[in-house]
Amino acid sequence: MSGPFKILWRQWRSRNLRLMLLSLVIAMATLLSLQLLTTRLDNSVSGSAKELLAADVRLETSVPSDEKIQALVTPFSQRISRVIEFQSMIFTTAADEGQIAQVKAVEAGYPFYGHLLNEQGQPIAGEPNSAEAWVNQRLAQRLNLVLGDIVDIGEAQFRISAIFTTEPDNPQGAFALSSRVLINYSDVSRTQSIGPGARVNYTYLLLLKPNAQAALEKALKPQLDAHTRLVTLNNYRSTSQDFIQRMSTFLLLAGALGVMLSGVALAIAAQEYTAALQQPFALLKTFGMGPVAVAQLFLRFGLVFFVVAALLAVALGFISQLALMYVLKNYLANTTVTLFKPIFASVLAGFILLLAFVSVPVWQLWRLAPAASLREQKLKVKSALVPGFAAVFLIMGVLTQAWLLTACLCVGSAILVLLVAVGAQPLINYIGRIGQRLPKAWAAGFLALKRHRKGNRFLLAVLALLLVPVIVMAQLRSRLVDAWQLQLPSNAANYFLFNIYAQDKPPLEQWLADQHVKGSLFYPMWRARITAINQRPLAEVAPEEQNNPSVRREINLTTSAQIPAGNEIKSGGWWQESEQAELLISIEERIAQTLNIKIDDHIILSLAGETVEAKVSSIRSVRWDNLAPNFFLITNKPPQNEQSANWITSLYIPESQRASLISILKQYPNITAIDVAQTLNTFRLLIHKLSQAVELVWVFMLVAGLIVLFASVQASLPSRRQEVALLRVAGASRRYVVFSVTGEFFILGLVAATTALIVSEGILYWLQVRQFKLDYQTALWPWVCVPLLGSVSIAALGGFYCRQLISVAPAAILREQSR
Amino acid sequence: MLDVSNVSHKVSLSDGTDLPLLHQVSLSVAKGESIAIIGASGSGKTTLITLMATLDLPSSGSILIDGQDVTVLNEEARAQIRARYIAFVFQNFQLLDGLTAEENVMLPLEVRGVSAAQSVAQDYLKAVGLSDRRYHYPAQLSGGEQQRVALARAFACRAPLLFADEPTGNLDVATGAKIADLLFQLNQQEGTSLILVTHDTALAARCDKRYQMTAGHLELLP
Repeated sequence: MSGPFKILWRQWRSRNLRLMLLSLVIAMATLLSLQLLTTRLDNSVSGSAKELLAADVRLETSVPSDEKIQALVTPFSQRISRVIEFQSMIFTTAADEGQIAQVKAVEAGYPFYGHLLNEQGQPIAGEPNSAEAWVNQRLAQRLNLVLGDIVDIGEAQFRISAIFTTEPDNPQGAFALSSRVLINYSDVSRTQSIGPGARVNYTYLLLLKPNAQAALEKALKPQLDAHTRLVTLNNYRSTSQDFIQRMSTFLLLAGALGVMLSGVALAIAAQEYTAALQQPFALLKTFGMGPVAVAQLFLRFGLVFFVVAALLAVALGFISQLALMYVLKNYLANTTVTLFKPIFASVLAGFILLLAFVSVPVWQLWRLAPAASLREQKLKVKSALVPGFAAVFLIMGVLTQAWLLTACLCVGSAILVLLVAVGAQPLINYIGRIGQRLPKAWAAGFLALKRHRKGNRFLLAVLALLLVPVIVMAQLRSRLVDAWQLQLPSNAANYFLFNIYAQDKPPLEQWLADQHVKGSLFYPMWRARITAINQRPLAEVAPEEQNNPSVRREINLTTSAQIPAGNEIKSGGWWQESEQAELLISIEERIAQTLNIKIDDHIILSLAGETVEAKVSSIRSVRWDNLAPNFFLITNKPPQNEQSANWITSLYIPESQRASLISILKQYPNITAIDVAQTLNTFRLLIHKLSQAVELVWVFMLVAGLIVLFASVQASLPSRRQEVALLRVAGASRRYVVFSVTGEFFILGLVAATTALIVSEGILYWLQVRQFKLDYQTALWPWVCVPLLGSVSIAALGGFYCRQLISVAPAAILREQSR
Repeated sequence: MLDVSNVSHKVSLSDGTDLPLLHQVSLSVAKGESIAIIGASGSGKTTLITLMATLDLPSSGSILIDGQDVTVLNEEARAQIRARYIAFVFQNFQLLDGLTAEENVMLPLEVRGVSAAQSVAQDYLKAVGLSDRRYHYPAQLSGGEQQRVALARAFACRAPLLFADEPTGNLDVATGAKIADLLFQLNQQEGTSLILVTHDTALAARCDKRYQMTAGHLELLP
């Protein structure tokens, strides 16, 4: 290693280079692990959505066999699996009972994503063999079917080989109300159920080649007509995935703030590092080192430094990623993540950060006049805050894709620093005056604070800046996790009971009251089909939606005086209980959007052959994942006699009362119960695990904050060294010096923590209410813990450095200063 | 070796006015010759040495080193001139804390691309009587020892021009005398042109020529 290179490397001993390296490593590792995690989360969300499609994309048509379409999609697909759906009566051979059911004939490969689950929640592999049928739980209960029973579908006989509860691509999800049967695709012709005029839906499930979707959509677009539509993930990203996306935003925000803190640490350490290089570089220039050689030296060293930082960051990023994946292994889809892009992006971001924060001080060194070696005055190293924070803004914006939020955070940070820097001086003066009344040793810290008021303004601003995101994220993290937990209280419904006849409702209600079982309201439920809007038949209003199953099929309708929990009015208004003159209806927003239904439209509904007209009074969103009965349509009064309705409710049945529930259900065989406990537990565990992942990311941010703390306290030390030596020469005891330094840092920590708390509350309010759409909540613990921890830890750090100062003979420090 | 002709220098103050530091200064130094510049603090001695050593550019006038006018050169070219012709001894030694005595001596040699920097450094540390202290850091050396390391560093460059700015200014009388002896002894051995800036008239008397600097005006003393 040459002498000049060694000069740069020697600063390692002064901690500044180590702090620079550490802050850069933390910035890059945070970016890398976050990108890998959010990519996996995104894949996982996409994976869930794909389960709803059972494929990458679905091509749905009412045309029996369109070879042209099939030929068109084949080049883009790895595999194609055909599905035919039609309605048919199902008869039991033994009891001669019948029931209408939706029959779905599937080919090998179905479903490409997701599984059918049996009553034990286990996946059912493959597809039904020829002459075998899989029936859903509802049909099995209705017809008292067990495995091995024989049923007739049309002209063919089938043996029941599986009973399923969940079907991935059923639009009604786990709460399917219709009777459903799966048979093998090759058996369709044997049933002879598809005659002329039969309503049949033909679906091509496509497992696409990599990156083929855009090309497929482009190629298919001209071919799509009223009978054919392409269903992609975008149609199916449901609100049930909101919480994962909200968490992704949080993770990215935490990561972005971590990068900002790392940037602050990098700026401080780089400034100190280059300040310490002034004398050596002036000397090197005196010895004849020209600008080109200086630039080459910095480039060479910068490259080595950056490569070391990048390697460490990639290693740290992967280790943290492995830890996260270990925590989440059973909860996120095991998808392959391309490594090149996240690594490249993180390393590039690190390079931009380094360049932005270090370029200005290095530029100053490069331009430093060699005559500085002869002159005693020290060059004031300029900080690189403007280019540095421009880079941080760029990285945060690209990372979160939330430019407004990023801009608010950056501007907010700048205002905070400015306000603290301006407001600190009178505050410090005031605190100093209070301190003068204290005993000598205690007053030492206050006096020191006042003496260093100029430097302490900067230290105070930096401390407040580092504490704000740490406080905000700590509180927001617990607030979000609480909010997620609140979505699913521990006594959330674990059973759905439906198909309750009107006459069965009173005894069932009595049983629930006797058992002290908590449940939702009982909702009357009708099956309704929208047939016309404003006197125009549906076929005319929305011909392209004629084959949309969620429109074509009968959808559930209830009547309710109050808006059910989890529903939110998007337009229009909820009715008063007194409004009974006219039949008013509230429509779920997706249905309204699909059929272009507006407020005050009149829609015609068909309910079991009877036609009723209702006026649209509101359009609402529905939280489908709140495990309570939800409805596409709600009216202000019963559209028909309530006796014609089936009733539905959801309950929380503790394990101890399960047997009791089963015995009551045996008395009412028509009632269908669905146990959703398993799904619920999986969901709750997922939330728990994801909150652990969030904690790990927060730790990254905390480490970045600690580096800022070390860097800023260390930067303030040189000015204190001489003062400590002079105080000791003047006869100050060690105790006085220790009180002076630790006391000063204690007060600084206290003031910074209190300032940061006040600012954090404002930010938390904004983030909770505006960004995450939550109710504003605050906690008391930060008001106790943060000032205490902040002041004690900063005082301890000051004490640690002070110990170093008083362990050196004052003469040595003064000699060092005189050189 | 060095010709300074009508050099004037001024600096601009923040109020927009100019502060003249040097007025029409001229001098010349022949090869192997030693000159001393004496004067009160603030008289312009250090400014003149800074300009002669190509560390800064004068406001007007010319400075020729080995016949080449350095005032018309850019910083890169002036750096090459310094590497080839100039060595320094500073009042405050200017040793780097993080480097050992030997590494401090090697530093300018490495900048100049001398291949056997270490053995050259060892030779010159031996010449100043510090071969047993070569692995010591500046903080472990006395003021006199540090200035001896600085002398070894300056002469190790084998530059034809040696600028010494108050080389004994930070030392006690006895140590200063020893350093001065060493400086002149090495200067004689190496045949270097020595430009010495000092307050010490006794030290200046050991030089071939003496100049008096007063408020930016230079005058050759008899």
